[in-house]
Amino acid sequence: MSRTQSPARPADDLAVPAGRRDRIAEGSSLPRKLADFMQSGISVILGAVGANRQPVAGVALACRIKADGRVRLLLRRPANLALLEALAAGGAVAATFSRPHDHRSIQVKASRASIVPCRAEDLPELARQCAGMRDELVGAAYPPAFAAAYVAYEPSEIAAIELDADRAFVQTPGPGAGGEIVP
Amino acid sequence: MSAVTLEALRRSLEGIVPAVMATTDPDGTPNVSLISQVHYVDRDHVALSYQFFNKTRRNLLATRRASVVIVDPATAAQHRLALAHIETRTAGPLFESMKAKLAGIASHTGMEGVFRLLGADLFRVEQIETVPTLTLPEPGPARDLLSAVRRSCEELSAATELGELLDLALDCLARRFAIAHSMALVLDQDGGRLYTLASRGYASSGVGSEVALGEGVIGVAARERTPIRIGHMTSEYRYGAAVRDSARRSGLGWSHATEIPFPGLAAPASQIAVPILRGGRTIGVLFAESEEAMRFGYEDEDALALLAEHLGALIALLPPEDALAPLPAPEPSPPPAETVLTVRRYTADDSLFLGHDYLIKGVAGAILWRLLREYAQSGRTEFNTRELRLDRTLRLPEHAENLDARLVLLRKRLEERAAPVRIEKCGRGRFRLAIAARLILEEIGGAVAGPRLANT
Repeated sequence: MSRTQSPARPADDLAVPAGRRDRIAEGSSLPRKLADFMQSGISVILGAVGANRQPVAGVALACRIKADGRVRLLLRRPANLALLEALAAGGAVAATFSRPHDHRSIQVKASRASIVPCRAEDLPELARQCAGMRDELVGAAYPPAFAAAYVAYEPSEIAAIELDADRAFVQTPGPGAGGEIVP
Repeated sequence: MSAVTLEALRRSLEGIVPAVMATTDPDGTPNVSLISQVHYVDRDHVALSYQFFNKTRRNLLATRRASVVIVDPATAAQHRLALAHIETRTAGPLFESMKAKLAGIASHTGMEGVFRLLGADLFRVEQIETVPTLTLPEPGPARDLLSAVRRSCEELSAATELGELLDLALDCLARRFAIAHSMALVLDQDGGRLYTLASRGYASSGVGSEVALGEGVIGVAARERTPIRIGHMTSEYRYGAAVRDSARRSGLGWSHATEIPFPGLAAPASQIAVPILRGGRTIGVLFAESEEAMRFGYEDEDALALLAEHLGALIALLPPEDALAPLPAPEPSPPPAETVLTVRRYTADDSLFLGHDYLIKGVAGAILWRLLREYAQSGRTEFNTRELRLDRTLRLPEHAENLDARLVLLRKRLEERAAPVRIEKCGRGRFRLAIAARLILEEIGGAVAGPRLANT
């Protein structure tokens, strides 16, 4: 059983340079380093707020970030019905990206998200990132069958949500956790 | 009403797969994070550990609602719980139970004093939704734990003295629960320490090795009077590692020393410690461990807790060894001996050394010294437990098992050291010193007893 040899530190991301050259796109708050991390095949979890101010937790499978900096999250529709309903009603969304092997975690928030169909070009990236997450889980000593089931999906059930990340926060455990990554 | 019960989801509440937790602030901005501990309270309630004052905490205080997705580590099934925050408890059984669990995580990751439970957040489970996902088949039939408990309890009821009872309990764990590595420890009420009185499955027995109250899963289970179970050391260890690293950089240290090496596994994957209680107070701990991850689940905890409860009751019912003890019979002359053995006693802590080898200390050391001194003065070799119990200089704590436990400890330590001094039972409440050496008794920091030939 392996354990983290060098856990990530909140300071690693808080120290991301704020220079324009590092932005993924003009007008986007996402540093390129973060965008790469978000698309690296890791854990993606979601939070929204439904009717009666009831929060709804959910799980996504992959993330694609377009050239203009818009974040596109791929998720299984049947597993996230209430969450999609909350977003369709105009609710805000939070998404946290975590890498199991070193706990590096980032949360992005958007005041709204739009629900769009999954497109054919999403599928190769979806498959690549699910395989990445599966390998992360196996590396963290979860049984391979469990890891495969955790990221299993049918292409026909995939939906996409698109959002502009208004703010980004460090969630890596340790001193500085919760700090905002200043645009 | 939900079709799925929380009880049926206990495996998902082991903390093996992190749970997803979403909250919201009063403006409707959600927050989502992974959490390591969703604690099963009862069929309608769970509790989450409150350790840091973060966004999730602020949201909970403001809006009192949460949504949590839990994952079954065996089948990958997911369930979404809608939770309503009831209160934060900072004392009482729930708090103690979660604090102990967290402390268990902390002690095994060297995070004592760093991970700290500020509160146990109690939630009512308002809805349980089965998330449609691909699930794996249920794992094969579990061990028949109910039958194992029943048969073990039957066997244990036949034991008539403490040492036999604890040895038998560990035998039962091996034979009926397939638990190869186990220990039984007894609490020294005065010293705030537990000492190992029986063990199974280790290269050296470690009898007499000590664990401080609050140290490791054993010490925490004893102190908090609640079972401590780590079903998957790796995941909890790794969780500790993330913050431990920062703590180490801050210069926090940790040290550990016992005079008799603790016999535990070098690389356990699972551990469980269950307190043995008498009248609500800890008198000992039943401990088991395994190199297999996820070895002890909720059901194993239930089973071992039942066994420990039975042990506690049986210990309370053990007839005092001296209940029917007759006066010592005339003693046979011990065999002649040529070996010379110097027994040294350090009065500061009643520690005894045979030659230069450490043997025992504390009450057990005081008892042996008393016996040896009497032997040196009068040649007497047969004793009964009643006279020891009445001897105020030994400062024995109340309850019969305290003396019995010390005598078991002494007997086993002397046997393991292959010492020319042994303690042998010779009837109910009676025992004999078997001495195969000429003894020289030396007291360091006190009067020196005169030497005596064993065969005179």
